[in-house]
Amino acid sequence: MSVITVERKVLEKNDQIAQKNREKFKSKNLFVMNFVSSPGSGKTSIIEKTIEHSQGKIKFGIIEGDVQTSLDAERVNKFNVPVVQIVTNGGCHLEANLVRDAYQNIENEDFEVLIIENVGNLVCPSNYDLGEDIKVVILSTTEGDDKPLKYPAMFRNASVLIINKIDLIPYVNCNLDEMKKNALSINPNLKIFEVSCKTNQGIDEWINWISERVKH
Amino acid sequence: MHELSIAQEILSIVKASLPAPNSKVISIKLKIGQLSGVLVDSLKFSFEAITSQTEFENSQLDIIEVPVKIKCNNCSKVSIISEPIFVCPECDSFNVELLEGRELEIVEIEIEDNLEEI
Repeated sequence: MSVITVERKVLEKNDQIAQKNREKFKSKNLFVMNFVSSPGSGKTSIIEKTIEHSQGKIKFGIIEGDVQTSLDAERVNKFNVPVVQIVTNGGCHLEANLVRDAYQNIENEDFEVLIIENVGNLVCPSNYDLGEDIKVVILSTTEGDDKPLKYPAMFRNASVLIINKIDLIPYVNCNLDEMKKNALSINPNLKIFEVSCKTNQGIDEWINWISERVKH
Repeated sequence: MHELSIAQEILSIVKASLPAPNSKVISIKLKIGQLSGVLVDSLKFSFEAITSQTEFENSQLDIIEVPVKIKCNNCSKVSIISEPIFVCPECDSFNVELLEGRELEIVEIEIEDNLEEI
């Protein structure tokens, strides 16, 4: 019997491609956000509101990831921004090579912020670097205030937490202070926004934050 | 269920690391951190499924599970935590850095010696 020392990261291939993506995005002066959340928390709605309320002051490009259908890309398409859909056909997360290939379809378009909407899933996407600047985790008030404790890896790796559906607080069993406390106990550096895509609460503050990060 | 794609990555790295294509793999030693998001049972099941009726059918996954280890930036104490709350058990500071727990690595591979070469 012999032992061969390997000492390699299992996802090194993905990490290498992600690093190349990151270099490419940097060379184009793009600010890149990877949106992650469970299904139905409002990722696409936040993208719609973000584009609509920025009133053309920030130029966005969008990569939509879904298990099936191009419904999300169709929703975003009406704003006349560069958008490309990735269908993973059952895959529970996006990988760096999928993002690299999708980006080629829009790389000659004029935009300064790229939003990658990951597949709705709070577990698997946390392992896969796509080459983004930051991960933005979206959590809605209907999901309960204990979610950050249940999915610590995702909240630990994110830079921003958007709490969506804030207008539903009076009707759901969610303690907002508890939710924020739980999130900050996993990651004290999280920047938290409270928004509602229904009433537009908090959307402008979120857009201002993005505009401060646009790399002119 | 990304364990299946992780099992495939493991197999492709193992194949690339073998001294000869027909080397018989006894076991593959992996380090898997508690925060890696990988379910060990699910990974073993996926690995069995993709190696069934192949030359890797009897290869075992030998998994070292790595607990979450943090270092406090306030009091410098290093601790292993079981709860997913990143707070120093010594001084209650939230200013901690993660030292271990995110591992997803292939450490080594055990292979049978090729008797003809000895």
